[in-house]
Amino acid sequence: MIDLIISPFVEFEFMQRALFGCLLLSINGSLIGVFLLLKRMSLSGDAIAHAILPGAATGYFFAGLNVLAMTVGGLIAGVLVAFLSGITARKTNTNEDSTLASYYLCSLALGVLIISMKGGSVDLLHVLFGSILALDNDTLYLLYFNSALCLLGFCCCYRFLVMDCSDSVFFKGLSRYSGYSHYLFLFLLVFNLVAGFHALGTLMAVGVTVLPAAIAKYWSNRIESMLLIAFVVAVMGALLGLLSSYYYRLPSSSAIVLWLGVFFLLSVLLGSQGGVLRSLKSKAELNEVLS
Amino acid sequence: MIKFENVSLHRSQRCLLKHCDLTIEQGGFYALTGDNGSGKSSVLKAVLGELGLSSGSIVRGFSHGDYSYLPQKNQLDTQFPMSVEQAVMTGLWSQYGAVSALDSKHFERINQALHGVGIAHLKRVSINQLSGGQLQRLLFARMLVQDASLLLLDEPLAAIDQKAQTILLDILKAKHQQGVTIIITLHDVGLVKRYASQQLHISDQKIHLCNADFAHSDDCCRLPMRLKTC
Amino acid sequence: MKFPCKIVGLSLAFLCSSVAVAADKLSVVASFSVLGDITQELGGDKIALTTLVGANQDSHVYKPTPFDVQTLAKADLIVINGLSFEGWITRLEESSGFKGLRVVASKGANVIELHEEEHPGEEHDDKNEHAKHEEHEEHKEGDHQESADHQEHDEHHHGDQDPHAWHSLANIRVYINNISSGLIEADSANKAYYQANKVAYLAKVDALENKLAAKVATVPVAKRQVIISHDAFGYLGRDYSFRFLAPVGLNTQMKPSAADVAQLIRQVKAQNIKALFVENVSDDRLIKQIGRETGAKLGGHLYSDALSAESEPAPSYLKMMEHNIDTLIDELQKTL
Repeated sequence: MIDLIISPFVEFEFMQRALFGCLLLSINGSLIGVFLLLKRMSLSGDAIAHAILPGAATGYFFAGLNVLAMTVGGLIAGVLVAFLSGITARKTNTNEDSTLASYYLCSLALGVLIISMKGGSVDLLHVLFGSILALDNDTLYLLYFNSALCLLGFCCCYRFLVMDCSDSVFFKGLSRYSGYSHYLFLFLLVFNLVAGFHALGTLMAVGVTVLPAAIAKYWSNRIESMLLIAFVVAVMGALLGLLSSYYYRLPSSSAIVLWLGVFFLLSVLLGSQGGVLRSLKSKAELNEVLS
Repeated sequence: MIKFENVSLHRSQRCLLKHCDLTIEQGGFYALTGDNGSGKSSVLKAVLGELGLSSGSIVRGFSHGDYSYLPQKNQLDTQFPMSVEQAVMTGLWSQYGAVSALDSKHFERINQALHGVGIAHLKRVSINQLSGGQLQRLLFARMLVQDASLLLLDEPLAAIDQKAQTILLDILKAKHQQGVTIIITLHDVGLVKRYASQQLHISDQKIHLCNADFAHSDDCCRLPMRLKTC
Repeated sequence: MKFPCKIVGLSLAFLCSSVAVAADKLSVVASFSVLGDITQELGGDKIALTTLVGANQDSHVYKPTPFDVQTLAKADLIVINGLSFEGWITRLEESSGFKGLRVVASKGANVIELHEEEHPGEEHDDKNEHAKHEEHEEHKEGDHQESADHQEHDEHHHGDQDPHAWHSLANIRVYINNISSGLIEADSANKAYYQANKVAYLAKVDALENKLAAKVATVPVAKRQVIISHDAFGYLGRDYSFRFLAPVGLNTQMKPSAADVAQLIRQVKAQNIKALFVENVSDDRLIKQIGRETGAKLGGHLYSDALSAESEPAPSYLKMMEHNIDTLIDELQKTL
């Protein structure tokens, strides 16, 4: 049994790299994903995936199919959209989800326009987006750097983020720098997503960020344990997904995300914090006690 | 501590205050009264600088971080995964900042505050399981640990039963005796008389300052005992 | 005095005739660069040609623009590959209201059926095909790597036939016949001209075929196996007994499973395949990773679904075929 789990990784270098890449991604994914959930911004991952298009398109416009130019361009565009939506929401007292939706749609349309100006039908984002099975050294370095940056960022501003997420009005009264943590978080989010897209494709990058956090919410009501559970779940999902892809010929990214989906459904049913069956059970017990 | 100089305040095109001069002394216990919609919350927000003035200025004798504000609509996300103790801990921000650790002194203060408001038995409970009254007491405790020299409370007693109200106001009274300046919105005239030293009554776009012993809600303005009208 | 008048007169006449000629040129639209090149060779200066998917571009993900719709609306003739290669063409024709002549270049060509069991040219087993169809299904809900146009995913569903039929010189004769007949039908006035071009082009094809056969013969059949990014060269494999191994099937959009990659690596190692090639229209990181793990060396760049730019080695169909074979054989010769 153990042999079944270990042997693919022993025999194939690409499997080792894939697992390692997933591990790195799980670190950032769990950190960022939990705070995304707490800030109620879980859908922003997909929005940002589209928002980076004009940046990538501009890079393509000036430098052709140069991956570095497109990645940097995408990063700039993504950060701009994220910051604009954050600032607009805070200054005009609206919800961040509506501002993000508005800006990303404009951004996407702009990107399509720029591509059509250069002409042609290169699948730009396909060139930009990678696959978990094809992690070369450069991409792994990018993921390392991404994880290091994320960990550093969170070490510096973990408490800021907790304060800002739990009660931003209160925090504003305590510290002049209360708002900045949100922008640092947005930057880390976009960087993580762009690096994730480039290394692993959209499905993986967003999936491993959003799903483990959602799962953790059903098992814990302390933020520290949420972070830990999210990380463990992400790694397990990656492992099972890769093994399924190996033994059952499933596309790897989808397999990983689907396993996370299975965990999610199980958590919805059985989770100790708000799981459906648990609440039914406690209702039944209560009825017994009353009658 | 706080000085209003020719302050006019508007909100949603309504004039709340017109050309007001007022001095709020350090160490006073001010009850802020007035009808619904008269502008009590707006006055508090103006004092904090969150609401812009149409004219005049407010001179503030307190620094950023040296006050504690309990808004009418609490913004604490009750779905946030933290315990009561952790929520109160956030009030100690100025003590530990982004990186320092908390020591036993800090925990002692937190315990004291929790005991004071009567929810010490809920220390380890998640905040999403608190009732309205318990939540309000938690916010009170958080305010207490901040050890600020100016406390501003906007309708803090709405969700709380009689017994708890007494407990909380007693705590405020104790703080007052330690020299803390308190401005609190109150509706009950009896409470104003029992706890506050002065009353600030908003009506007719003016703030009427009078001695709390003689508080008579609307009639405050008309009594010869009133100290000042702006 | 007379001289300038003659000049003016001649110039005017010339202008008029060229205008007349321009007005008379057959307006032709070709779906992608290979067809564009062949159609231009056959049509010469009697046609005004527009190619929709140009050099180095990917037909699998092409999205027609309003300009394309306009161009097609005014066209007399459209040349497409068929075999579900251009998934977007039906809607384009409908929305442009195209009423001209439609040439399906691959009609009558010797097409490779995908569900055939043994095939010397391709490296699939049945499971792979079924997995491919499943991947199509999940792919529809899967990555949205581009804009929110979900339709494009449906259009990538290939039928049961390999559409890359132009990689076979034998098939290209069928293409040439079809296109030429189409041109003649649309513009019978210039029949003789088109016939002449067809004969000339067919001669070039014959010459190339001999040349390539000779070149390929220098490498024994057993050694003719290479790794490539996606399975576009089934026909080349069939004609010249190459074995192409690819982690991904016929569509650049598809995603391989770990099992596919693992199997490929095992095969490459077992058969000691040393030559690896990348293409001009897909991401090459996966194939390079396979190369790293198996020790296969990057042999060069092949052109599969599109011609190259003028400055690159495959700007025309004939040059593309020659380049591909040269690159393959040169690399394989090194491993002999």
